[in-house]
Amino acid sequence: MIFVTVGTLPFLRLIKKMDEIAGNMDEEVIMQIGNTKYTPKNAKYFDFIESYHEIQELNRKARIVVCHDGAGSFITALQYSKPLIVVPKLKKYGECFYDNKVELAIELEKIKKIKKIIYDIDELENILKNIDTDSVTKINEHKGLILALTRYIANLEKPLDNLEVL
Amino acid sequence: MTEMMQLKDAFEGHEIFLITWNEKFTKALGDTYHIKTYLILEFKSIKSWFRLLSLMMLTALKEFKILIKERPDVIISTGSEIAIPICYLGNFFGKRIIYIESLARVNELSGTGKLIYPIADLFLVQWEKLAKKYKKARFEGAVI
Repeated sequence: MIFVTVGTLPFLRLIKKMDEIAGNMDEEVIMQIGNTKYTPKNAKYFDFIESYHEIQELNRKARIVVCHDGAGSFITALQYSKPLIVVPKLKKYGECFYDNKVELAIELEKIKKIKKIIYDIDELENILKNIDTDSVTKINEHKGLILALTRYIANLEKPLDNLEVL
Repeated sequence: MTEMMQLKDAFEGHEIFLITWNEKFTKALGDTYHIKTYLILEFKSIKSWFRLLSLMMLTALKEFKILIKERPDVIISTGSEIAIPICYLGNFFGKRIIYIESLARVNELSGTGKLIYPIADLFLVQWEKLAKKYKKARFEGAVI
């Protein structure tokens, strides 16, 4: 199953293309379309889901996840170490105000947490058919950040004369 | 909000409440993790600088009321714009301010990050190169 997610704001270019691709494929395609004003004909779709667990479940079951360049979507997909294809919104199509949002996707592609970033939507079908779905870098445990926060908060509760130097 | 939820183990054992954008997704997250959530301001309602400023003033008023009601000791934020009034208000009333810049900010701080930087007691970034660029910023890891 291929899971497609675009977040809150509309992303017509991706949804339309994925609908077309779904018509050419046997594999099931499920799309979270947000506020995109388009009715897919070849894929199952919903605008938003009421429960975060269901989104997590869709990510878990997917063979490939295709998403817009939203950090929230990356993080959810990467929790399940799924091959991730990112289609960034582009200023030239009036999809966003500036193009530097894609910085994160580029960094993640460098460290192999994202399989491919697609700027030309016509490449998408080919990539989906030929992608290597093995060997995705496992998500790192974000313990470092949690630990730092826990320590800092615990320190705030100590009496003043007992504070560690952070 | 997704990033904040990745860090929720850090807040275990403490009483917490959330202030976030009023969207179906944020409401769903609040429900999933059973956290008291205040939903203020819809993201799509910001269309111009003027609108942003007037909505910020309205947000500041709403957040001030929440601050008085809940009396938090610590305010932790991953942004974005709605965090600005509450962080400044909280700072004014002597609360600790912790800011965590988004994973999406690799080479430069966000607008919100730059505004909260001066008043943050703890300013965390998720890319080491960003910590090198800003004196106060600390890198302790990332959500992925």
